[in-house]
Amino acid sequence: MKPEFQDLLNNNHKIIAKICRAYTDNPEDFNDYQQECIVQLWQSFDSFRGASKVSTWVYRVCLNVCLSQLRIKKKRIPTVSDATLDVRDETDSTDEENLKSIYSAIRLLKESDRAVILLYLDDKSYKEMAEILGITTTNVGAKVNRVKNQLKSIINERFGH
Amino acid sequence: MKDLDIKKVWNQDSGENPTGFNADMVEKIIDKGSVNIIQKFVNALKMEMWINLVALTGIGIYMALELKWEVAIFLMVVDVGYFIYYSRLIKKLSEKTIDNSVLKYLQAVYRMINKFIAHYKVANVILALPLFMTGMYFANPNVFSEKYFSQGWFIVLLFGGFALAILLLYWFLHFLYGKKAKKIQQLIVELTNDESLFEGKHK
Repeated sequence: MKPEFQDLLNNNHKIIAKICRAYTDNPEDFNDYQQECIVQLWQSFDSFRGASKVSTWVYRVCLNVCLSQLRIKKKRIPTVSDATLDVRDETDSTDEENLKSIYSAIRLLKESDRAVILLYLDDKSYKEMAEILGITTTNVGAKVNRVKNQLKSIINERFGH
Repeated sequence: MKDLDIKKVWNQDSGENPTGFNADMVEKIIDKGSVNIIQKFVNALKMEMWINLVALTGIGIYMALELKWEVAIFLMVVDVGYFIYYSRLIKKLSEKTIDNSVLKYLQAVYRMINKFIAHYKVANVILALPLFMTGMYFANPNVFSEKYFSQGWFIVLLFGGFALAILLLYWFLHFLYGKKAKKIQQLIVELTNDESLFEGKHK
């Protein structure tokens, strides 16, 4: 494996984890999604010509992996302890609890809307979001407004924040 | 929670792997390879291609040894045809599309699932009839005699059984991949629907 690829993973592991966590609350599926993301990033690493930002490319690949919903039966290599996703309850700070609420609320959105809100929360510009999603910036604008309001009302109604 | 608060909390997320991925683990994951749906199709088709090639070549050689040249040549032609067909299909499905935009990728996956289903539908009809006939022949070698074919119940049983086998295989295909195709199609519609709403407002 090329050291450049390892660097890429180390610089973008948060993006990978955030996307995977938005698409599952099950630790096994989370591991499966992460592993498939790594494989797909590796397989298209050589063909990445730098036409877009590295993070844009990572977003595209990982969203594509999660949205095409895997059905994985192969033996798993643990990348995150099975307990990590949920074990924080007892020691959670308020921010961590809020973060869990946000993730739970995101997972209540439609799968395509989760992609929109993830990009919005990570401060991507409409142009970059359009590039990642493959839709127009006007469509991105319409979606962001709709999904943002939806997320807020889910958080308020379900989690009482 | 205000808009700003959500972003503030979100930005404090350290990710589930604060230390990143270690090199050994990444190597193992890469060695294991992909398990996505397209890769499954490619693996299934490769296996199918080699089974067909070995079987047809074997029967072709046997026919040549039996001096049944017409049959042997016919099988070799079919063999080459199969090889070209499978190679092209596998090449098409193996095209790297994962780093396309989300919409383009989903459209590509949708096309590939439909291509795969279509392949089996065709293979189904082409292969099911001779397989069904062969099965009946082994059950009773006299089954294709005039005596049976002149009886209505036999014709109904023959074609009814064949139609049922095809229907069952079609149902199985849709059970395996139809739902997936529908889900992907729904995602494509969802991704593009706000655009059509927006266009509609400005008409």
